[in-house]
Amino acid sequence: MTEILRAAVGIFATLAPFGLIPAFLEASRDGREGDDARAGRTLPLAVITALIVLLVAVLLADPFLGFLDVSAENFQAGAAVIMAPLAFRLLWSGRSLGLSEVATSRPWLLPLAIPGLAGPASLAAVVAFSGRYGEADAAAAVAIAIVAAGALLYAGGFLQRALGELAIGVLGRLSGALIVAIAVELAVDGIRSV
Amino acid sequence: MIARGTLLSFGLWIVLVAFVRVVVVPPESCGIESEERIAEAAASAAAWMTRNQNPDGTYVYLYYNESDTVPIAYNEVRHAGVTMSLYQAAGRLGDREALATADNALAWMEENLVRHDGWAALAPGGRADRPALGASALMVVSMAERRLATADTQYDGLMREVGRYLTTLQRDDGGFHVAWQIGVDAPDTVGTSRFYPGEALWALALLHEAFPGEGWDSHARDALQFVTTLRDDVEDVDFPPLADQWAAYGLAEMVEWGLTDQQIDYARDLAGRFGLLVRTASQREGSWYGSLVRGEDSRASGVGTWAEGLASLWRVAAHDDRLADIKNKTEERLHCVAGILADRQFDAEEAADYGTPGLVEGAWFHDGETRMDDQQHAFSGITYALDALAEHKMREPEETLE
Repeated sequence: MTEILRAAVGIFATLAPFGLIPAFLEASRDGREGDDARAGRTLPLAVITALIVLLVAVLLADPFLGFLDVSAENFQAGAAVIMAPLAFRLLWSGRSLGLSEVATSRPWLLPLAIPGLAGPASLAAVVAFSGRYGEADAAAAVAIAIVAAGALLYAGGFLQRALGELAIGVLGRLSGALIVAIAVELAVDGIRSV
Repeated sequence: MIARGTLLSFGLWIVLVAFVRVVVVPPESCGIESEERIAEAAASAAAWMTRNQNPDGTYVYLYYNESDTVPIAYNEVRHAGVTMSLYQAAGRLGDREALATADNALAWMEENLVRHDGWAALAPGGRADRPALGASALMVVSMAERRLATADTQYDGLMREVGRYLTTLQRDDGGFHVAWQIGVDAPDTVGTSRFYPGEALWALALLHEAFPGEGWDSHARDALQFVTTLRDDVEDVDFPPLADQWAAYGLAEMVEWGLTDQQIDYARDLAGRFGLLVRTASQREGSWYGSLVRGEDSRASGVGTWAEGLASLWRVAAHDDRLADIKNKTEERLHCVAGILADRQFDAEEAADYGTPGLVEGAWFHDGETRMDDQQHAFSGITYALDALAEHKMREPEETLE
């Protein structure tokens, strides 16, 4: 259980929901996405799509590492590097997606689900945790992290009204710091593991 | 039309992924997979050590294959180490030639003993006034390995006598002085050694296994406490723990006595260090750029010690549930490092291209040089790696040689 929670925290950090709140609110604005937005389907569609993508990543982690001829322990260091751009973006701007980036025909898919939730950082984290703790634990961790991130995004409008845009930006930047911590922990664990 | 920003972002990702692939996670390769071929490599290494003994009981110490020369140099610590490996070959492989060769080498050690104040120490020629702790420790280990391989007790007295040199040099903190200065009848309190404490630790543990109830175990426990808590600080090890296979041998010997949580943590960290070294070596093997970003190959004497260390820690993990979670990974790394070693060894066909094929076949070369402990550590590492892969938890042979 501890391992599942540890992995869930790591994956949740790379989903960086605080950094996605402004983009989700922008995409869900009435009229932005036609029927989907009016029906409140943007969030569930994005979350379910991301969940499917990340679970597929869990299932493919082992053959993927085999294809690359890379051990799970060495991949952890690689995953840490892959997380760096998202961490820097969050630390710099507090957002993992710019508001202009959601101006697509189906923003729930591109960019909110991919790469907003299921992006390089979260995919790398999922593969790394799958190699470290096994598929079952990683899949459970993905489910927990996605549900937690979805709940936070669902409450995004309320949080933004209650805390203000500035506080959401600060929380986004803190998400970046958390990703740095997770990346360092992954890399160090990879180096120290057999 | 794709936006310029999207193209730029895509391009940066390609650069990042390429960087990660080349620098951080280059592909890994573990050389030869067949355990049968890996076992042949061990036998071939033992044959090199057996074949290249001099008439006086010493071994060929160094050989340069390009110039076909054998420089004049020797080291008694490594002499004892090679002898230890040959006794292991006698025990594990039933190799009678190895036993005979090792007995000749043991006779050379007996001829080069210094006796003083109730103890004996290995100290050839110019070192007679300052016998190195490591040489005597490995001499004890050699005799203990001989005892395990043959059940012959004729060297028991000598084991105790040399063992007393180790306890004479042991300090209150469990560490050791590196030598006794016979001229001034006092220990060398200035010099230190990274590996002598681990060698002495293992020797003391084997002395207790051979002669229980004589008090060797308390010396071994003190030595283990020093090695696992103070040694890396004393020796200014930059990235602890020091990759010390001797300490791992000692831990494996003492796991049945019961290890503390702190010693188990040390064993876990040590296994991680050896694992990292093996993974890095496998990255060097996996691609042309692997060797560029991971530096040049380590010599076989180094790679062999990683296998020895991991195999010993596998035994710790097999006996102690607190390390059960690293057992499978340790087996993976052992298979990998043994495969890498087997792949790098010079075979008979390659040896035929050199001036003295008998000095090349079964050996490992680094920049055209092989040293006897290349074969020693590679042999022991491969042998115990195969033991672990066969789930053979006891280091002792199942049958003894007569």
